[in-house]
Amino acid sequence: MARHPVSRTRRLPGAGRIAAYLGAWGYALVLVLPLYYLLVSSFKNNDEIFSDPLGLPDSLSLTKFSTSIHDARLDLAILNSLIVTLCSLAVVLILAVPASYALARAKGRVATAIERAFSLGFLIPTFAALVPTFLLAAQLGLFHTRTFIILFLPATSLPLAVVLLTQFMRTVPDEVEEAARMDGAGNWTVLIRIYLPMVVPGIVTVLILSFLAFWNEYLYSLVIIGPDQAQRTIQVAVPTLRSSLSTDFGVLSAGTVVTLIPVYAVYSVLQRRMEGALMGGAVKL
Amino acid sequence: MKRRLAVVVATAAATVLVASCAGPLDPKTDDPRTLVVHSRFSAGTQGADVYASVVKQFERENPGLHIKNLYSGDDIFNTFETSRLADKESDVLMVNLYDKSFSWTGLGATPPVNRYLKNWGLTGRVQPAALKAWTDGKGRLRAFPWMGFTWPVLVNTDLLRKAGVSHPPRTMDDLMDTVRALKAKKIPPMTIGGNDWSGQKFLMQVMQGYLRPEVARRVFSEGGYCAEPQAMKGLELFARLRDAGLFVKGAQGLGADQMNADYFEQRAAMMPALSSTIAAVPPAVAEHTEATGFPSPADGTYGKPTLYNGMTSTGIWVTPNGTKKLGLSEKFVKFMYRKDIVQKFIDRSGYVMNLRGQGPSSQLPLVGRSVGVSHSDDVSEVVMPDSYVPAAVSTPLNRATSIAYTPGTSAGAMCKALDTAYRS
Repeated sequence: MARHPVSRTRRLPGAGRIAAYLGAWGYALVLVLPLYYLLVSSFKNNDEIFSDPLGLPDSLSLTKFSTSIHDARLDLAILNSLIVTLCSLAVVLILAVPASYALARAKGRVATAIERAFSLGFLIPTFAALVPTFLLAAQLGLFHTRTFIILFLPATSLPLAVVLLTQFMRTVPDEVEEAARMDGAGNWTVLIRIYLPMVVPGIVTVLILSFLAFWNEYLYSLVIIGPDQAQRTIQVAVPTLRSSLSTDFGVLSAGTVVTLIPVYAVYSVLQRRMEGALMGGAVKL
Repeated sequence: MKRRLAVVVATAAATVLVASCAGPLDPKTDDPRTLVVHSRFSAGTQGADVYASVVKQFERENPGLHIKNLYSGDDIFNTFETSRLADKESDVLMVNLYDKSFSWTGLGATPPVNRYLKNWGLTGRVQPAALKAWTDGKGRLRAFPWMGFTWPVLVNTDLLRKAGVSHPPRTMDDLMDTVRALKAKKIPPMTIGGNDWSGQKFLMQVMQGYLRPEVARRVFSEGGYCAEPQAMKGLELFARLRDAGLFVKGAQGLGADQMNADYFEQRAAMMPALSSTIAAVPPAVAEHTEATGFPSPADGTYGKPTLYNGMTSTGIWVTPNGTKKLGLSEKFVKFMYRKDIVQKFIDRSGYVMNLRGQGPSSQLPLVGRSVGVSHSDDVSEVVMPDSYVPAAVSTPLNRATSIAYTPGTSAGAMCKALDTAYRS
């Protein structure tokens, strides 16, 4: 059978294609290199880190990991971070889902104004809110507690969550809701039975973005929750492994790796959903 | 069935989460018989193991009393200040007199402890120089002086011998000869963290070769390096030494940790070393390490090699909350001042303490030798900048230091960078 000459030439990689491959692999390498450095440093002592930063470690002993967990009580800190993050995510969803549903269905000027008011939340710089937030926590008697942070973090995430979910909810056809109402469904039934299943990709997107923001939050956790091992989050605990006088960078790297593991776990479990949501959203919106 | 199970599991998880939002995970909470101590002694830092063991000893000796430890790293100053503003600060704070803490007593954030020192019978226990260092201009003792420091230059005599140099340099000519000899053998003469506090202190030390103490105190307080001829002469000396190859390659980008690693791994023959670092020198290197001062210029202010000695490392601060538990605070301070307890820190951690009647470190001989040299007649003590540099200037001054370690930078460029730090 004769081969088509064009298909044969197509299989040969051209110079552009090679450049594209090299570029893509080079970019991937740039992204992976810091992670590699962090990981190998977790098995080395300071001398090895400074003399041969990218070299492989002599041993794969997990001592640095156990030291970091023991020294900074990362076990307690991870539990605290999980409590803060999961409770805050729950608050975000409880507030954002009904608000988005109402905004998506409302047609009047008031709804438009409220939606824009949520967008204004993007304009508040983190540092600008620090002092009033601190004063509020002190006045409420919630300073040095996780409770205040659990109430505060959702406020930082709500603008994005509401704006994003409102757009997702607008993609739900009116006819579906009308059919449900003709069957006697009320507002809550429509929201829970009709809208929620149809906007799951949007909710997953909000969850991932909020999770990353809440888990990695440092400034407010440091100021509001404070240094108590019993309450502090992982982002506040890990820096205690560092000292301006001397630092065991192997232990610090191991502690940092420990903080990254939950982030990678959550992202790798939910990434397909999020990518699907973003792609789907790009077509629908 | 599966759905019902999922609902039950989700409800249980939510209940646990909501319940745990309210209280701390650690059951040890504050009470009148618990003293909350905020310090930098988190496990893994120098002396943390000794601190942990003496805390246990305190609790054993005082049944029913408990110490709750809070740890912060370099954030301790900010963390204390915010806690204080909310009236939820720890009872006792263990931190050095540096940067922000200089202003605390004046602002009322911490009470002066003069009367406690007297009433608790501890006045005679503290070295007079330490009392002076911890007392402000209005006679208020800011905290109980506890730890001090020495800051000599460590010299690896083994590497010097390899370069044909028989003894550590004591004069500027000696030093230049040593640098040439070491470079000829491809041994970097001195390692330094040119990008952080260690480099900043060394720059100021070299500059003081030509600065009289009263002038040093003035320029450290107010700036004006470019306008001060003695400072300019000191900076020119620094530039000469740097360009003659005194420092390791890339010193302007290094930090204290890299400096330590260089010396510990014998990749450099000398380094200026704070006492906490001296305690960490590996025994094999410590065996052939000598502690000494840095050579002074023949026409300079000091006739002998210079170094820093300080009394303002960790002190024991009683906070306003601590005064509400005065009995407990007193017990803790007296315990931390006890001879046997202090000696444990000296022996096992190499701490240099501000308290009288203590012996040298039995387990860290290099620390003992360096303390002896640092307080001997063979060296002169220069003015410690930290006691005079305003709090807001400390960090910008460290940044300005890096420029000084960049090869080819003139004394004029250095002084401009230093003066700019005072205007930032």
